[in-house]
Amino acid sequence: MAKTTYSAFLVLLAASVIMTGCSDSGMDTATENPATAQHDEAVDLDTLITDAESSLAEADNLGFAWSVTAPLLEEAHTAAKAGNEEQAIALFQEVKHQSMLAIEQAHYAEKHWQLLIPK
Amino acid sequence: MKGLTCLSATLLGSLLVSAPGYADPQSDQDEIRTFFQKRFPKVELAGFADGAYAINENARSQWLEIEEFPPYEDAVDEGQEYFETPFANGKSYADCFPNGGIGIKQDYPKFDTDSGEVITIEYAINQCRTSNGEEALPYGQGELAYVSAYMASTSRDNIINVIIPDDERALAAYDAGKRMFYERKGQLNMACATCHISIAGSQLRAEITSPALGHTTHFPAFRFAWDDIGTLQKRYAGCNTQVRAKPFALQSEQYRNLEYFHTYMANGLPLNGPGSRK
Repeated sequence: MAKTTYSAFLVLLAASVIMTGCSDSGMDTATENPATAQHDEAVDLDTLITDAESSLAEADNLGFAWSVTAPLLEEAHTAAKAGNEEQAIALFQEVKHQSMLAIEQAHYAEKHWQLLIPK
Repeated sequence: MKGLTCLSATLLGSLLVSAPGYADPQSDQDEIRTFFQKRFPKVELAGFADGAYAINENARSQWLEIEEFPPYEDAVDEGQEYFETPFANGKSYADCFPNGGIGIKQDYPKFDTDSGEVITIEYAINQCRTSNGEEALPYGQGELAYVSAYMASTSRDNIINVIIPDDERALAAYDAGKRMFYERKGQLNMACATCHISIAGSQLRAEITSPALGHTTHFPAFRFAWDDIGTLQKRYAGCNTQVRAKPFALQSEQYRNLEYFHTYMANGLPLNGPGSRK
């Protein structure tokens, strides 16, 4: 009986560790596969393109754009032109997501850039 | 009472002058030197001009063997030819620089109080060309890097002496460069300082991360990864790309300011460029 209780406890512990791990996102979300993006709601492609491009432009103006984002934008436009809407949406969302993270990075740097100065 | 008011006004004035939070370059330099001399106590100050080869014996012995037959020699010779070839108007590079452009690299980057901007030697080379009716050359590598390499070779062993004039714009440019050095960027969220201060001397994949102190002494450098001579700012762009940050244009204001800060930290070290690097 004690052994069964102990096993059940281990299963519960493992499950909670896995759940915690899955919910810990932060900056790593940038590496998530865009294809996994949820499209439950209808997405207006034109609005998404505007959002993605303006976010990237803002990150660029701040001097914090990522080198991997502009090629994704190009890929997204190519997919849109080819009529592959689902792929285009996923890619534009990823462009927007990366740009938002770059903007957040710029704001963080504004406040904390001195942290690496040797003391 | 009047004296007290004057003292208060003076104190307030000095607070206002330092209000933008500009750095004190001399303190920055002292801090960085102290940091690296504590981390690498066996390396003399001048030794930091050798970069990663100052802190790793195996890498140093390989590098010294390479330097017996320097891979940059042809580029320096070619650079000398370009340097001495007159422009279409009969003038040459020598007419644009103090001392005919010989033995002067230790004074660059300079802050030009007329234009209010930082002038690196590569930027000055192109300014010289355009003011003499020639096309500006692409930055980074090729003819311009060769001319710069030749000019560096004539300045070998000269002591770096970058000056920050008493001009708020110069201090602002220095400060912008400093800030860029310490800001985390790119998808990997890394700053120049991450590799070249925080983990300097550590193994990063197959490489040893070099100390920031002394980086600028040996550029333009022949890098085996490039199979050619390239400028310091080409390396900046490469570093930015490696952390997946969008690089700035070569000789952009951002990179010139960064080079200003970076080279000021190396003041007092001997120039030993062009050098060879992995």
